[in-house]
Amino acid sequence: MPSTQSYLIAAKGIFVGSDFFNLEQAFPGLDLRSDPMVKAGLCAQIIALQKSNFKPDEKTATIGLTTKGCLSHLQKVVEAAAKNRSRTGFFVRSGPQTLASYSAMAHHSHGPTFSLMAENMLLANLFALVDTLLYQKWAATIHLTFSDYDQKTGFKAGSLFLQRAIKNQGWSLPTVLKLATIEEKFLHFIDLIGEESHDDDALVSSGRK
Amino acid sequence: MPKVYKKLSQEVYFAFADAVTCLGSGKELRQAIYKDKIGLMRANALFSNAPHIGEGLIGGLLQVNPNKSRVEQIFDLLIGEENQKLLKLCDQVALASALGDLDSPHPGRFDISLTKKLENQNLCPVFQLSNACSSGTDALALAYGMIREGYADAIGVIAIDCLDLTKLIQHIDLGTQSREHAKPFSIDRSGTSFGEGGGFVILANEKKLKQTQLTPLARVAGAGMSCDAQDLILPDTSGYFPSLAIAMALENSGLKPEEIDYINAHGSGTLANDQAEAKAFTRIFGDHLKNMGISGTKGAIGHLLGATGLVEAIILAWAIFDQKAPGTAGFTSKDPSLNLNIIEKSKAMRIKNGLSVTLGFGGVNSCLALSHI
Repeated sequence: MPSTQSYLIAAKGIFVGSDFFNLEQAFPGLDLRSDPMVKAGLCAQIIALQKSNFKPDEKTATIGLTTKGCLSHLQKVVEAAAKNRSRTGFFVRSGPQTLASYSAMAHHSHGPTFSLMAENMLLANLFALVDTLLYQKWAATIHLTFSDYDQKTGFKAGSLFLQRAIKNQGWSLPTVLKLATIEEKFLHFIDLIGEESHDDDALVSSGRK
Repeated sequence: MPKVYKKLSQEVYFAFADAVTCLGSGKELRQAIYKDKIGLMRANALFSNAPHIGEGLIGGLLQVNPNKSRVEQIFDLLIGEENQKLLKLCDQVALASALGDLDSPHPGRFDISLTKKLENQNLCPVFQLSNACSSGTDALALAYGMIREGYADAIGVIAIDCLDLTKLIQHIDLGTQSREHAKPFSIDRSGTSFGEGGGFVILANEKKLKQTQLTPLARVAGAGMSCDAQDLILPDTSGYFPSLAIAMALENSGLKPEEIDYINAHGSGTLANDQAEAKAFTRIFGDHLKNMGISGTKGAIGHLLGATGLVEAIILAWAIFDQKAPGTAGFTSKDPSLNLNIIEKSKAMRIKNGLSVTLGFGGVNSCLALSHI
């Protein structure tokens, strides 16, 4: 039987471009040797948190979403390996999980932390995971960050902090975002929240089996 | 109006499991594990064109087709005709890997080739998770949660990872790859032995079990995940943050620490990992540690990178079903600073509840709790 879950959007932000903010100032002490894709994600988080009074707590769950992963660091590792050389500094920061791990380090979040490869992933499936984490009470806040390199614009990244909500209002997620690519749909999704609500208390709901 | 949420609280079972490693697959692997066999080979036997990598021991599978990526070859070994039929019983499939094949035309993009293989079988992955060494455990944990939430009756979880030359070069230089075999929790440990392989698990609720008539190996009691959020490489050697994942698994399983009989540890064979795990276990289990058995299997099959958590969870499920704990292949003599009751050789033992623990790069920690049915 279908039913729905609702979310409170605690904070949201979109970053597009290659002109990164001063991450050292925003996240003092954070190791800044990450792939640029991760840095773009951190910039989206700065925007999200600047626009709201929200502060993630230490039990926040962090989910990274990327289609292409750490292209820049991986390229350096693969090119060096072709010459039988190692680039360990880049290698340990070349996994998609670094998007989630760096985000967790930036916000001192110790909840479930993982990254998803977003190729062919439906947004409805992503929100099924969010439902699972929130409603199985594995976390009270979910921090989603999408980031990828885009040839036209530089980087595209979005950051969204979600919490469980009881109030029912808003629209059905799978209907709005059916079968789009994750990159378009995630950023479009954040845009839609802005258009729909114009504040940080927007509520959305998703379908579940 | 949306309906009010109602907790479904479905039980979730380990309905089927298979794995492929350097010790073989299926029954062959299960028997070899209980015989404490070591399946590792010299690195230059797998990468004969790279003599500079030395003679470290790794759990490699021989590459049979140079036109296919290594993850695709492992997928083909794992998902043969019989397992394809079982895969089709699942409502959804979850894929997991850490980096996939770095020597392929699409380095790091395990999702492209494996998704295509699933699509050929009319299956679309529900998610493709990449979370370093915890990838497989996390995929299982999330699939378990999704079945409990009512999103599916059965989810097939596949975790595959390969040891390509690019990765091996990095790990040798990092000092994580040993020149010998991994010796988890031993005083003379010298690092881990990387390997490659994959696991395939069907998690199902009772309804699906009845439909498929599969005999479950164990019940999934709970799962937990946490993040150190401190360092990308070194685990939290105080054990505090890894202990949060264990505590979460116990909490959502309703099990008390003293009800755990056995732990299949991450046991990578590095000093930092052994210290982090031992401290985490001490924080959670205290005096009960002397009553429970702990073993690690990386000395036998190698550290399977993103597949390691899933394959070790399979070994735990077999152990619970067979009531037999695997030994710690490669173990030499106990590190006296670790207050752990290490199972050196496989032995029959009562295992009502067991844990599988995984720690990964990025400070990610995962724990799965399984119970005897």
